[in-house]
Amino acid sequence: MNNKRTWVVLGGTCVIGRAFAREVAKAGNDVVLLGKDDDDLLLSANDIRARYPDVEVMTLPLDTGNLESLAKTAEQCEEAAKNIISVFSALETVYTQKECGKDLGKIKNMFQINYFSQVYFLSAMASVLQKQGCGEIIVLGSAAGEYGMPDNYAFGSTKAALHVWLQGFQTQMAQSHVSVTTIKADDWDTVGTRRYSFWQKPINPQACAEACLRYAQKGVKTRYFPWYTSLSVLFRRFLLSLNKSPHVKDA
Amino acid sequence: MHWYEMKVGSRGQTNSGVSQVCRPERVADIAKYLEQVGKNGIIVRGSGCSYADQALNSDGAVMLSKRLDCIRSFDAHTGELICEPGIMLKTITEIYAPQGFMLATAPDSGQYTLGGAIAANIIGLNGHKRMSLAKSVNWIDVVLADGTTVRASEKENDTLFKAIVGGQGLVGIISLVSITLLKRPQENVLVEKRRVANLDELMNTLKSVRKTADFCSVWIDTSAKPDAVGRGILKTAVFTKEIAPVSSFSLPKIKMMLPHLALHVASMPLLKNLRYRMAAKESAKIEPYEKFLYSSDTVRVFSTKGIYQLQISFSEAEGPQAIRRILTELAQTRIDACRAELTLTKEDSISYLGSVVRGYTLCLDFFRRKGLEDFLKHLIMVAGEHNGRVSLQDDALLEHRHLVTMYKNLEKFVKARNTFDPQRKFDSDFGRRLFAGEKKA
Repeated sequence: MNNKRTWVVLGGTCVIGRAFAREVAKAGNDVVLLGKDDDDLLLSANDIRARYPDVEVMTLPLDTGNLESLAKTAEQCEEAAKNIISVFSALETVYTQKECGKDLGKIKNMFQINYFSQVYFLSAMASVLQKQGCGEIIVLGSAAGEYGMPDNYAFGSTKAALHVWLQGFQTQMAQSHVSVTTIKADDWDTVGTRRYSFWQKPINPQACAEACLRYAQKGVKTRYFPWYTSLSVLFRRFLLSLNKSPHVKDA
Repeated sequence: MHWYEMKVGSRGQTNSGVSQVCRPERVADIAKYLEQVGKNGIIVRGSGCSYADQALNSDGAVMLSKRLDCIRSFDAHTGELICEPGIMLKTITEIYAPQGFMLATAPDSGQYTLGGAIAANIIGLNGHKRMSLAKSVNWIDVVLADGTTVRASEKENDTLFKAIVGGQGLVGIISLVSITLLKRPQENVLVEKRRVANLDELMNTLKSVRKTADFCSVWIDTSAKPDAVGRGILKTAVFTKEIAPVSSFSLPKIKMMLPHLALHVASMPLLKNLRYRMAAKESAKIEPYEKFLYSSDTVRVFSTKGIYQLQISFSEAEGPQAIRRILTELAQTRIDACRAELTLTKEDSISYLGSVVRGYTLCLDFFRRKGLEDFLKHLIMVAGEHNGRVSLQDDALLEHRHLVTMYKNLEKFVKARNTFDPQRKFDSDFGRRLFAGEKKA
């Protein structure tokens, strides 16, 4: 068996999923794209085929609404792969806090996609990767999972749950020489009302994809992207939490 | 559909504005975003390579198109590439140059998005052979103000096509592009540089270069005294079968904002004089085509105080006289251009707002300073007197009256805009500056 990989990309139709698929295809690896929208999947697959004609690209539908079906999808991925299987998960749905306030179902929906779907799928893939005794799993977390912000704390809580699960999963998979890397990315400008200045811009998907691959190859467990996000997490999570709430009056 | 507030700035740092910004990830979402556009309309912004207010829309909406970058198909037999408008020229070159293909036009930067390059109708170092990038476009899909998508080309809906090409995004949004990539004749180019002592020598040399060279540009020393005006370094390149030597050393790429003072020092007359004198009288080297391309991407430094760019096209007949006048005025007034470059061009016939004519295009960059705007307005007037056209893609100071005299197809453009976007759903600071006087339909 050579070092060529078949990368299973969850969320292959979103911007970071596409960017990652391009990045691994550029290195000559095969790609299996998973997503819920057939048209978007075809678009992403054709994009890679047009860029790198020698790369094999497959698409499989992903039904995040039916968690039981994810084990079957994992089996299909195993059957489709001709090389060492690795997994990249950018599965994510985001609603603002305002939207969640109007409809609590949206929080359930976010947990379904951001947490349960990934946990079910990765659990199903775990045995496959353990059997092959190598491979990488990269999961896109979020800096929002590190502290609650007024405009997206429901979303952040789904990511926080995922981060904790991944910490345990990392230890479990390490015994089979499978690396699990969590990338806690900063804002994709997908949700919330933010005012950007020249120095504070949404992250570049291609740069993030490159970083994800680089970190996974090094076997890194957790990284922030961009790196300076770690400073803002440190500041918000630890220093600001020492302050008392401005709305609480002294007794 | 997600919007957020963002301060958007121009590449030259001369203009900026706060806008509501959206960043669609699918072409199908463009029409949905258009439905939500309020006052001041919307403008599409690619890489933001325009120096001035072309891709700004203060108090309006801006659509960032860089995530619309999927390639739909590529035909290796015909070279036809169908892709979304947000893909960068550099990316196209990176993917298809190893397969033996190249873009028809070789601009100095690969940072332009394909849609932006068409909307700005950019020319390249081979402008005298290939005109502009839009010439190699087979068709474009355009999302109009009412949300419908229309296909336009030189043969089909040609009015729309001519208004979109070079139209700075004021008529519609390009959603899909079909462009023909050319088979690259050879992998390497022979790059020759030679010093030219004055404008007469330069013009004589350029006459022969127009016929022989595949690519050509001239760096002009604007600090030269009036008797040596027009002196500079002529750079030409032709495709060659010869093999390029393998270099183990390459200069690092610099992409950063430098302090104003550092840039001022770098553009001092003394250093320009040194650059001219230290250049070999004649030199030649063979290098890979990809390395030769996008020369300005190697060093991308910008001043925090702002840079104005003035790009003027002159005909072959008027060019030498007009360029001499401008360079002499620069020498006399001692207003130094931090960059001056001359390229050869071919008549632009596919755009209503096509700026280039068969002749020469002079490109001048200036650091913003007190009194500069008046001087640049004076240069625009000089250009007008010599039947020159100031390019719209990077201009910051043109007024509507200049457009009327410089662009003979202006009325056709305005008519097309009134037809396809009567409510001015597509607008920008640039559009309001130059077309404020035009009546809405």
